[in-house]
Amino acid sequence: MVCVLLCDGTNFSTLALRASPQQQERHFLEILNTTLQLITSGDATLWGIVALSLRISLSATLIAAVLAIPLGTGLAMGRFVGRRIIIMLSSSLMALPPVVVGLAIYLILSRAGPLGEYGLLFTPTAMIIAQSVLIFPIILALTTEAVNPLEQTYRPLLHSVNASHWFRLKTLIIDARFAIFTALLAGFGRAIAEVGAVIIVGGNIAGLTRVMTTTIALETSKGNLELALALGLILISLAIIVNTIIHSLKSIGQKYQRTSR
Amino acid sequence: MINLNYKSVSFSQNGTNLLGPIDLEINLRGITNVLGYNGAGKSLFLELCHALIMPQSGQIRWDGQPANTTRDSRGYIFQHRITLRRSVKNNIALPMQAAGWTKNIINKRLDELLYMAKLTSKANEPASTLSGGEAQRMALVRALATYPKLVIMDEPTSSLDPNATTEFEKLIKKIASSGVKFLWATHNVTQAKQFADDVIFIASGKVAEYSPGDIFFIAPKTLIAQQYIKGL
Repeated sequence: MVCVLLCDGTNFSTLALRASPQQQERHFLEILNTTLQLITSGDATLWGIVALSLRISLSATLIAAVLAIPLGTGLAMGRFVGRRIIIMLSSSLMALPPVVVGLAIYLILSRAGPLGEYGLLFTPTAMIIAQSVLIFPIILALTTEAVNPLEQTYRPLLHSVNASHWFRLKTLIIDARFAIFTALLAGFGRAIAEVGAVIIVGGNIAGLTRVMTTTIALETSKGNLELALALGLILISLAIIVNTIIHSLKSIGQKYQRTSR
Repeated sequence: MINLNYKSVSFSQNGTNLLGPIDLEINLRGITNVLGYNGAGKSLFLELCHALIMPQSGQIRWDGQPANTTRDSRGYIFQHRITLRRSVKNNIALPMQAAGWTKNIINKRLDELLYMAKLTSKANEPASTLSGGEAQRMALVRALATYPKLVIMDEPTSSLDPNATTEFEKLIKKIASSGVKFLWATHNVTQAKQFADDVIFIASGKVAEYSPGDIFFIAPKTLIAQQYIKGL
């Protein structure tokens, strides 16, 4: 898309409109113009989709975070057999293929599956579940990675003041908060940009389970480039915002980084 | 007086015996300096005292109670500075928070401790910005926060410059005069001569000598202690 934006508009009658024969007459700049109008006019369909995407991905991030942050911190604190294997496993699960997760959740939630009776398939709840599963290992692994060096520095001190396990967990989470928040943003970024899993378990139903990514996939193939492009722009803006926050958090975090000398 | 009892204590790592067996029963009064060459086992001795590590065999008791159940009654200062990624104030608050004190009581105590360490003006600054001397003074009052009877210190001045060391020593004197006992490892013989009420001399993982400071520095019983005092 970046290339499309950078190139001279006049040469685009063929490239931009490859998807749909009906629109071959339309000029690329015209599409871009409508796109911007769509974004600025407060189009209900467009912003409804954006709102649903945010709701689903933020919920998924929250659920994954509540589970992964204490677990990841506990994993960094623990000295038990199999710890390394769990850490290794969680790192490799970071690259979980979304479509496979989608398929697995589909099987579990479908009528014949173990949770079929709840009728969750093709609902936003199913999409939240799929995204939570997908980003849980990301938040878990990044939290463990962030807390580990801090835990090694703090361990003797926390031990010497006779701190309980809960107190240690709390102290480490609070003091690794910048890195942990970065992990959350990474998880959120993955969730909101993900398409494979949510299209399988959500079904891409208009007004109900249609989110930014699935809409882009559908509308592009239908030739409705304005809506797809508008959502694409919003998605990229979100990615830039999230990354800006991550970077500024890192620089704030560095101020407190020097823990021992 | 605080009674310390080492009963056939041995500590080993990867099959190598690093400390012990030690049998020792002493009553700590004032300041007890732990002396010995590098690698003699001073740090291990102190860590065992506070149950930061557990011996493979034997038992360590304080006033009859196992060391690992009585950490609350002692403070500990590490050789290397350990600061939390927090303000000075919140670093000092750690043991009180761990002990479950209420905010009001913690704040009151914080004022006293910050004043004692001459850190009142830096209370809200990140602890990472403190100088080495300030950081160790902070560690000292942090160790004192919950009114321990004894403070264990592992070479707290080894990385400080002379001025910071003097400042730190002044603070120790003040605290010791209030009745808090110290178990203090140092490699600085001059410092120990000045402070030690008693000396525990450790050589090759064993307690080679335990005697009052004024006797130890004038007439050490063992040859190795004689050499150590002479700086050989």
